[in-house]
Amino acid sequence: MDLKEIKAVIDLMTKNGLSEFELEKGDVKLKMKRGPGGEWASSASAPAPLPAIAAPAAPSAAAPATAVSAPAASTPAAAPVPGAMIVSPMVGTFYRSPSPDSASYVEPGQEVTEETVVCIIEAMKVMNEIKAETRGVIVEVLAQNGKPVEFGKPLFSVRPT
Amino acid sequence: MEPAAATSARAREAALLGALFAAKGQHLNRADLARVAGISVADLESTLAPYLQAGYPIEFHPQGGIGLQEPPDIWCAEEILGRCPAREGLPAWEPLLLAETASTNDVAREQARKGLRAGFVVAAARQTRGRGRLGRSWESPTACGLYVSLLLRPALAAAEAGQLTILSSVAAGDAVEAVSGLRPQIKWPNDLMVHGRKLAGLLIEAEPQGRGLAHAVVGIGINVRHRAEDFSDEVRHLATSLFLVTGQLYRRADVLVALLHAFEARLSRPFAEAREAWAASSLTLGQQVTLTTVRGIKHGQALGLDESGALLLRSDSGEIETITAGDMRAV
Repeated sequence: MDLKEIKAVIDLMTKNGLSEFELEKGDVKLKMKRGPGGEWASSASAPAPLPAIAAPAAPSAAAPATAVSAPAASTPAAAPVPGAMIVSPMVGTFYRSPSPDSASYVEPGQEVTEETVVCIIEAMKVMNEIKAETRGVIVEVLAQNGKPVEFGKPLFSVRPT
Repeated sequence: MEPAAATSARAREAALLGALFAAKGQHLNRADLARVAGISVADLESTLAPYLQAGYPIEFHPQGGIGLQEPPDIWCAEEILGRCPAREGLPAWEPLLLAETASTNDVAREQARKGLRAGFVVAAARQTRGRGRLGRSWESPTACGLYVSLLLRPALAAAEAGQLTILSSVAAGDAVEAVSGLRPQIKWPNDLMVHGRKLAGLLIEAEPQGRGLAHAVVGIGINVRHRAEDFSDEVRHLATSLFLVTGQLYRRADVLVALLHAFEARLSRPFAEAREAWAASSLTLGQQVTLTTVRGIKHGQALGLDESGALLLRSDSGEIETITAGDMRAV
């Protein structure tokens, strides 16, 4: 992992208002954290319940033809978001594959549609199959297999297509 | 025209079987039976003939009524439909009974994604790849257990999906009790135990959509007719069946019917009642337990359930933790 990649992660955190980031890839382990206070304090106090997709790229606004003809009021204020996040809709355990022996549902670089199952969150023995609910390419896996995730925790970053 | 006629023929036959099962061992007046099914008295015998042929011991008395004796362990969708008629405000059960499939949960999930409505029920006499949690296998030898999956579309928030675990394990316990008189104990979160051995297990697979649930598939395996040798060496000392406990060979269809009735009852009452029933059957509340969770191994006292159905554990240091996933053993 080089400085450029770390910078990309910082940009991702800034743009999505994340206070914590953890990544394990081969023998590289990266953990970044922003404490309370500082410039991010305001973004951390955003409404707690996140929608399933934290930062959807508004598809209609992104299409130039629509953007031109659309009245200004309908353009969301936070429109220029380059990536989307698939976040956990519940507290539970994150699993990347249906069983320990099988392949992961998705890998970075893989294209997903709204209906693609990307992972399982187990909560109270209910195995919840999480769908991408967005269209794009998986950029990064942001949670660790077999580890607990909180409500609203980003699981994957997605580059919309 | 064609499908509508076929559907109503199925409904007529289901109504006939439902009436015969409700009065099992007695003879029903032909005119009454014909009225229930909406057919003529003259058509009764020919309508029931295929069921007699399939093995349902239906008796036709030349001048008198028609009766059903105790049937063997056979089943058909019409029997299930007739004994579990649609009820106001509850999913209308739509049974599909298979001789063999890889996993009933897989069948139900596939149908769920195709948009089938709640109430679809698929059971198989045998599963070739019966699944438990995390790809663990569920032994499903032919005609020994009830291997069934129910498609539900509950109006629950995704974060409340755990309620299904409580409700389903209580309903499975209700069904076992209704059929055999045994009240299994529940090991958190949802194993049904009798005398310390596993009688039944659940695998619930849900699909969150936004904040809600698109669907939930409740897979239930109940060991009904297994003899000791029907279990593999690996699970024989851990598992049991209704036959091994009671010495009775129950019909799998009777267990399925009891299960659907139990879900109807639990789904139409407040969740708090299911939670109380769960706590009353719990093997582990108040006990010292060891939990293997993703946060590591935890020891403590199982205190109870919170509103969502998660387990409250008081650790040895006195701290109270909420556990939503893990395996539990009583110490």
